[in-house]
Amino acid sequence: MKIRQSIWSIKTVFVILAFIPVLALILIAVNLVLHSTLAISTLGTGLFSNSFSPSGESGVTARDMHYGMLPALWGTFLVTLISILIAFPVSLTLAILANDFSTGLLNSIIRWITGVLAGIPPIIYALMGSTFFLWFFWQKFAGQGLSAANLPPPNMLPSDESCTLLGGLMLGLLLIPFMTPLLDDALRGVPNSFKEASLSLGATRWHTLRSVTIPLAQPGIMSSLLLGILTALGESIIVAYAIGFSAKTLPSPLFDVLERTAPLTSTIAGLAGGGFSRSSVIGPVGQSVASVMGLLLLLTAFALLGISLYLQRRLKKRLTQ
Amino acid sequence: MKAEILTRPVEISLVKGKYFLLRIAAIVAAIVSILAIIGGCLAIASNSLDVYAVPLLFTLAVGFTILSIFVYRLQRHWQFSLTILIAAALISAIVIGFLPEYLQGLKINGIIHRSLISGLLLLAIAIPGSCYSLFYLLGVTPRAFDVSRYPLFIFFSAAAFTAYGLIIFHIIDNGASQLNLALFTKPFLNQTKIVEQWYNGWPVFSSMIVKQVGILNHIRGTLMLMGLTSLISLPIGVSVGIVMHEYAGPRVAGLLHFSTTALRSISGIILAVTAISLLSLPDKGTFWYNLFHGYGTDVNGILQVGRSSFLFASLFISLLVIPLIAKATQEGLSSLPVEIKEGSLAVGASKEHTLFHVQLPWSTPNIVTGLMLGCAEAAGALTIFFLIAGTGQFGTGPLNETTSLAYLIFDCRFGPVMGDPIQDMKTYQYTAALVLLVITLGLTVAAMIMKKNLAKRYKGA
Repeated sequence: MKIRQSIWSIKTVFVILAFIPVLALILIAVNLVLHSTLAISTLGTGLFSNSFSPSGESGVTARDMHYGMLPALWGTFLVTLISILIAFPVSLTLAILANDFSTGLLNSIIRWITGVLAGIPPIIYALMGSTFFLWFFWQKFAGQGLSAANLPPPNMLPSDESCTLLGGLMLGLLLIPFMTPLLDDALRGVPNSFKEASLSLGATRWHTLRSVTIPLAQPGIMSSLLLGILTALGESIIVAYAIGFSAKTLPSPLFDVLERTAPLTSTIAGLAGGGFSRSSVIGPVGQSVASVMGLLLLLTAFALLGISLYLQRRLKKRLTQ
Repeated sequence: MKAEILTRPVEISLVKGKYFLLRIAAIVAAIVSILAIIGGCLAIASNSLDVYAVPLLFTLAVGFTILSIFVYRLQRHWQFSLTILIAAALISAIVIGFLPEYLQGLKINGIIHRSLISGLLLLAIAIPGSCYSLFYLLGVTPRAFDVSRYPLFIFFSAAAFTAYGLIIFHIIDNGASQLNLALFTKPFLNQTKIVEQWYNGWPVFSSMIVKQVGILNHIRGTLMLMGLTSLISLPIGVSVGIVMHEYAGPRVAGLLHFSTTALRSISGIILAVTAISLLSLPDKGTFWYNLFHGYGTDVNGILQVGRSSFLFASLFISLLVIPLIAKATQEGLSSLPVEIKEGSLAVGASKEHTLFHVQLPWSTPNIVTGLMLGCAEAAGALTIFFLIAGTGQFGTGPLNETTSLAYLIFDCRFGPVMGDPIQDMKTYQYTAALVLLVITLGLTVAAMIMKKNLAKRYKGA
């Protein structure tokens, strides 16, 4: 009887400790909802207008506040799209090379390098952003022969070493070592017997890859793509460094990636406050708008994560059948 | 088309002379493609080298034409993809020939240099071209068909690894040039000290600026964050792993799995917003306010309340580390061969005894691996506290203001906006980046070596 009691108590301690992450997640969600009510009740549909200029809000009516989220939403879309367009093909290539198209040594070298590169913290990419800008963007998009080209002033690059394309590029570099192991796992999960059956019927390795491995691993590939999108949505240091903290309006041709269109994450950082003394001038509605944006990110993350987990389960079911 | 080639092996052996010529043509096309790939990379790297783009594209067109003529002589039909490549090479040569040096329009910010377009076009035509010439060079076999895909793979991976090589080389190059021992032994200081002097029997107060350059307090702050984070997250992470593997039913396990995955996948800035709103809860001057915000004494011995304490910051960072440790624990527990566990239960050990004396010792290396990755995460995790950290010149105890190497790098750019007197450190930001890189990459490599050794363990009969 005594032994059973002691087991019960140890189990209780473990269970209580294990539910701390769940509690933290609930606390985060509740906090965001509570703080976002002020902005929603004050601004209403003004939250989705196309003009964003935070202010101190002293003696300003709700009609004159400009907290439209449209530029930030568009910036998030652009940055995520660019980074995924860079990272997904490269990491899929690396995963294929590590799985089906290489023998022992090259295989383990690729896995080692991507594993080591996954340890580089985002601030390093952020720091290198301005250097990449000087090396590459300044040459290709503004040009050293700027005076010879005789340009009108609006066609100039932003002068402080930042643009949306740069943020997307550095984010893509962050995503490659993150997505490669996931895609690698997805491709490795396909049983060898399937591949061998295809090869023994006379198909080349490329045909096996295209018609057996990738279709079977498709849920896994989709789920790692979704996790990559999730990471790209949530990264904030790199975009704050490479793009900036806020965008006033949508870029004038919508696809202008050489303009600075700050995404949601860095806009939140600019609005949220804390010790960031620049944001002590932002009023309570502005700080509440930060919570609305955070809530939007949280809901998107839950949706994508749910789909991703469902796809993983489907992959497992498909492969065990 | 491929199938047609494969069904006619006899014909190929009959026309061996023709095949020899095809091989020569393929060698020519391969050399031209390699030249064009190099030319494309150079054109992207340097503006002035795009003058070679047009001649290279014409040469590519000629090389592919020769190749496709010999393919036609052998197979009696035109290789459609080669024809497309020839057309693309010719068209892009003509287009690039007529382009001005700078392109502008549509009111986009910036003007595009011709070399970017010509470099990308060269690569886009030369890489498939090299695939085809490799295919014909190696004798039109299934094996050659596989090998001819390598240029595609190698180009993508080489491009990615060049970017990372540039990053690491640049950090080492700039960081090592500013490296000296004094930087590691002195803490950073920039404060105003009130000095009391006696003049004609009266005390006179004058202010003196105390300045010192060094990253000692940032290194100590990083270590403090790593230590506190592992202290907080180790018990919680291990118990999440144990509960998920041992006690929970599928529903509770699913809930725990979802919440830990969600904590890692949701944006760090959401955690930062939560942290900031938690910071504003207690009233100014109370015990909890000081505990949350962190306090220390400056050179005059006056209490300075900061933005957030190490304890507070590492509470939030450990939310990111708990999932890593939980996953590692779960992997360790499930890697234990069933017969060892059942053997322990069979000789009369209780479930608890088995857990503490068999299962947990077995999964300790896994947990340590997870902890190392978590420490690397804590050293580099800036998103959560970049809005609420400080310079760390008021001490680096658990209750002092948060700082770390990663924050120093951020501070060097945005410090003036945030009111941190950090201008003198701007020269040393690459040194800080180098030290941070050494810490995180060292931990990651150590964790990977441990993981590799774990794979060799006994896996059951």
